[in-house]
Amino acid sequence: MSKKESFSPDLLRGSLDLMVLSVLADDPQYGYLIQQRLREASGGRMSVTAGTLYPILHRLEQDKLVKCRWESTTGRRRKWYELTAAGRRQLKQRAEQWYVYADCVRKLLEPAVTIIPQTT
Amino acid sequence: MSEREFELYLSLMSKLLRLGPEQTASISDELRDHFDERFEDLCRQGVPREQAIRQALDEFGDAAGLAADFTQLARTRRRRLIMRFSLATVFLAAAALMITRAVLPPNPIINGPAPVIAQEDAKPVTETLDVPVPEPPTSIDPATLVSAPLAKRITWEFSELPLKEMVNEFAERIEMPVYLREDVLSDIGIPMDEPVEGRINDLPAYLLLDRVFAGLGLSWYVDDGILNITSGKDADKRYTLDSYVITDLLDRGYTVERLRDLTEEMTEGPWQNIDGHGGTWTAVGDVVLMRQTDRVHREVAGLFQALRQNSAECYSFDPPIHQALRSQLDEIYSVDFKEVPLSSAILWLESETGLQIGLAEDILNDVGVPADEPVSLVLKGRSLRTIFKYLLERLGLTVIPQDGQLLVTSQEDAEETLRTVVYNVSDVVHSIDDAQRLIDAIQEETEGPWEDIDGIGGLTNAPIDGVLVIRQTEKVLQEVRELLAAYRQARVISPPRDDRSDNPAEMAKLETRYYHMNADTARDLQKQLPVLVQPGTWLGFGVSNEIATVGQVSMVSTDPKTETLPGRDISRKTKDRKEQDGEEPADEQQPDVLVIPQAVLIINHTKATHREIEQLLREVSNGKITPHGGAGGGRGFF
Repeated sequence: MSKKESFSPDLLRGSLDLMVLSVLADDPQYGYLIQQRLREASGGRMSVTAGTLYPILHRLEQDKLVKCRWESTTGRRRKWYELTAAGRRQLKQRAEQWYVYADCVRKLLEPAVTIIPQTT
Repeated sequence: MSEREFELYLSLMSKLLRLGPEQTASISDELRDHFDERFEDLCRQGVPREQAIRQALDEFGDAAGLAADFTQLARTRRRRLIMRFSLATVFLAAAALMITRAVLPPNPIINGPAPVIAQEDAKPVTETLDVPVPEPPTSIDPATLVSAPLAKRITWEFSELPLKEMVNEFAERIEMPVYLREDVLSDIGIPMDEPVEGRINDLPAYLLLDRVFAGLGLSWYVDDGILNITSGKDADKRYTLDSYVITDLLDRGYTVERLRDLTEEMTEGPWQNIDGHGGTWTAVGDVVLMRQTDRVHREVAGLFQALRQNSAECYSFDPPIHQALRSQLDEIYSVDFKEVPLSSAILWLESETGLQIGLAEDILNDVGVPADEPVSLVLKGRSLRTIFKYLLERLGLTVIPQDGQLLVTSQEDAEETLRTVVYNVSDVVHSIDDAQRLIDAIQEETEGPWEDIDGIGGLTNAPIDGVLVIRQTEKVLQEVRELLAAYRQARVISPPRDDRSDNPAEMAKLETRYYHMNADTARDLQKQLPVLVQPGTWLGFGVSNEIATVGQVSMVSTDPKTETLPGRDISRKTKDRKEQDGEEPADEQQPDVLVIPQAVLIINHTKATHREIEQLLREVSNGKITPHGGAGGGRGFF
């Protein structure tokens, strides 16, 4: 895999919710910041568009995993998201599960990575 | 800031969101914040303004898709329409930004040179009109002719709603009992759960029914306060008797026969008299008894009301919002469509103009134009009318105001959609000749087709002095409007020679004129004219010594005219004629041909007197005065 290549959408599909929750783990964020954090964390490989991100945020809000508040300090209305207690529990549970899962996948895939000759 | 650029995208998306206003506003605010942040970020990185806008927008993706995602979160039922829109929508939104940018404040961050497009846009080409814009037309609102519940303004949008459910909810919304003729609908293959879609925004409820039913071949009528929903064919067979008091119209100079002609020519019909089947009409004194369908009754009522108006241009059966739509077609817009689906282009125009624009998809399918047919058009600073013309003409389509919205439909459908307009032309028409000249000009200088010339098409009728009634397509009525405005303008600059009545010397000139008419009428007028018009100025009728002018009137018989008339009329008229001529109506057998003796009145008098004579003859023709002194119309005298 070349360095600049983006992750396949299939890979992201099952884990994006979890990553969004994790970005919110420390402090409240607003949409644009969350998007930037995800981009930075992936070294630019993961580009979550606004069109993908906001429906996810709204679904998490609907599921009461995040809560939000509006602020107008910057001169325009801004919606801030933060984890709820349920969100925090969910993050912990699913993160643990994901580690185990990723471990399994890594073990299974390791031979393939070494066998398949690298292409530029 | 860049907020205004983004508004278009937001308004497009908001339109597609099936959420409440509060939720929509909240989503818009959030996305606006994101867009501004991203745009500023890109500008800080040195990305040129134009590119920054496009990139920030592209990252939002398809407006329709995003709206659908939000909507799905809040609702389980998704609107089918949203699914149809592809990624092309976002390019449309981006294209729109290119166009609107010219009017925006300069970029606060990047101070690049003004884009070329902005310079072009700075001087929009307004389509030049040599003719002053005439007063907006008036109309008789069909909502005033339906039962009160159907005139109730409603706002409602639905898709994939089973027909029966939609009808029930409609009944609840307008609080009117509804009878759905399930047996009839089943006969024409429409199940009760047929999914229907429709939308209406603060307009009379009946318009929604017309919109939804148009593609299904359904119709409605009101019987005894109950709204019946049935097939179009079934509704066309349901006649009811209604009465119309026409006293005031008769007072204005209309005759019963002229009103009957008008009614039968200027409404959809069918009529027994001209189509061999359909509605019937009987006048009893000042009251007309009419058997017709619910819809045609409403059309007739609209026509009579339009005849009562003194408006320069009055549509006899047309929702007032259509006038707003027509004038909006003259507004200036710019478009930049490159290979976008027709439905997306229409959606963008809706968003840009704030108008409701519908696609007659069933008709488009019939003519082989799918809703996602790719279209391309770049036009700057042109009227919406021109934009539609160039967008749709190539596809055999056009746009007309229909059921309270602009409807994109086939040209054939538009040609079959006729409207009736009553024109008050008393300011430019002063004689029968004037009226005929104007009608000739209209029929020659507009596209038509006209029944008088082409055998099919639009109809004209000048029922009384100064009134012209025309039934034509939207397109030709627009041409008539322009022609009348041009004619009025020309008359203002240069009044016709005959009209220079303020010149006494001209009006005192003697002139010999020849008036053709039925012999009976000529005989009567020969005696009565010298008494009725300028008495004391006619040779042989006691010329006053103080008056120098001497008029003369003589009569010459000419070849008789023959007319083939319908049976019952022949028997009546023939019988009357024989009695007048002192003959016994001996022959009871109805003749096929009626022979009408003709004559010419040769009158030598001043121009001023000829004008008075013309006026008198018009009154005789219109039935205000009958030469025999009896009742009834004078149709066919001239």
